[in-house]
Amino acid sequence: MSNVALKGRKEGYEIVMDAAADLNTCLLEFEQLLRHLQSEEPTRKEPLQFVLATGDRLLTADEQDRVTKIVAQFSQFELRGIRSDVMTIAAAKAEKERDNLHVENRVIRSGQEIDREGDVLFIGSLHAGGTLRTTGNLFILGDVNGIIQAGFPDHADAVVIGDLSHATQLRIGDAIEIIDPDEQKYTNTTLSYINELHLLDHSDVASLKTLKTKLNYEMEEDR
Amino acid sequence: MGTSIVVTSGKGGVGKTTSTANIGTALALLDKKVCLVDLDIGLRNLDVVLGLGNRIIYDIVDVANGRARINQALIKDKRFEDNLYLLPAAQNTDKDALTPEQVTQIVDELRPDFDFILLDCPAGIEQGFKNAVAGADGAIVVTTPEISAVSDADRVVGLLEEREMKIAPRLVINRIKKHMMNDGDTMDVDEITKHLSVDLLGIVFDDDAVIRMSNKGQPVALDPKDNASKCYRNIARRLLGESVPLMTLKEAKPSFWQRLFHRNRK
Repeated sequence: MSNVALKGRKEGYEIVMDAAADLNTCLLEFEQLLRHLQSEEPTRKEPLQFVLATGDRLLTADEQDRVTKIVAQFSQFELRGIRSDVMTIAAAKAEKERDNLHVENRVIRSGQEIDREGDVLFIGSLHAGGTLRTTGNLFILGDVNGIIQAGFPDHADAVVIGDLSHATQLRIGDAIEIIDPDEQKYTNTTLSYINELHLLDHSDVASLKTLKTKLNYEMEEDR
Repeated sequence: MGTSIVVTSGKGGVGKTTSTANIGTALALLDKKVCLVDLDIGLRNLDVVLGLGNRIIYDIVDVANGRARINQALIKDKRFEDNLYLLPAAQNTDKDALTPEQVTQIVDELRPDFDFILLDCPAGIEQGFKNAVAGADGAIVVTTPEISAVSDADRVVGLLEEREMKIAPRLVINRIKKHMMNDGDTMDVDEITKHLSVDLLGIVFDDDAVIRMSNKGQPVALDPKDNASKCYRNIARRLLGESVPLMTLKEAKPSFWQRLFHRNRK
């Protein structure tokens, strides 16, 4: 039993599986380990929670299924998750897409809807009747006459920075504001966000630090 | 090989058919071989504007369904030597009678014999629009200086750009009332062009003669003196690659005697 080992960590129990060993052997040993642990303490009432760490091995959906089935045989154990040190290229790309700042310089015309993931720097032109939507934050330098939506569909932490005085609607998460063309409250440094009462509110970028501490922290962390 | 251009607008009543007839006429006057194709199936009227309504025997749907050969359906405009032809639309069926493939095929059949094939698109962005756009290498988007027409034109330019045509769409601003534009009551030419971010092909002034001549079955472009006619002729020259400046928006100030005797004219 050298390929699979139980380890106690600060965060809880972890069963480590050697990535170099054959998976079938590993799963067999994994089952044996659980059986052994169960027989050592047959009267345990609370199930023992653990994470399965697979190291440099990435389990497929089928293989993950096999693991959950094995754990299900033992009432005294509960699998909290499977952790791997590696990821697929597709997943890495999706994460990059989500976490990066995208520069959008298109002309978005009436009837067109542009959907992005992550933060967007908009330097194009959004015409009346068009929609620019993203899951993250929006930073606007371009000409905006249509509908702007940040934090789609329900990320209330998202912010929009920029001049929206000619836009028709501003949406953050599930909050909507219909912009009054006569009210000139927007400038290039306007910060639009959802406040603690879950209402759309406006301020200046200078107050980002105090209003959205978490977001500000994330941005600083990136540097 | 001819170039096919669709004349479209999204909104109805901005002057697609009038523009098709007049740009076609102006090109024919410049000694180009032009075929006008009416794709407004069910509501054909390009033939009427050209004064050829009484000569239709076969139409485009007959050609598409193999009931007639294309040469049988083509109507020659006798005012021009051998330069202007019309392929009329059907009157008693609807837009679904044609498919984009059939239109492409008909246009391809016309290409070897003509320099320009102008496709008169119906209003809207449904089947009729899709049919018309399928056969086109490029597009002329017609708008008027009204916000409703500009907004629809924006939508249409978006749809055209998605199709990635060989020639980028170009804009014609029709029915410009000089005094309204000069007074700032309508969007001005630069504003519209910048808003739509497409190249401007030309502007056409609002002119009673356009309607007067159309009603007689004569495209206004035949009249060398008329203002709107000059606009259409300039558009035709720009289509051929010439660089022609835009006509001025300045209004001629009426003289003392004119003011005295034509006081109530407007």
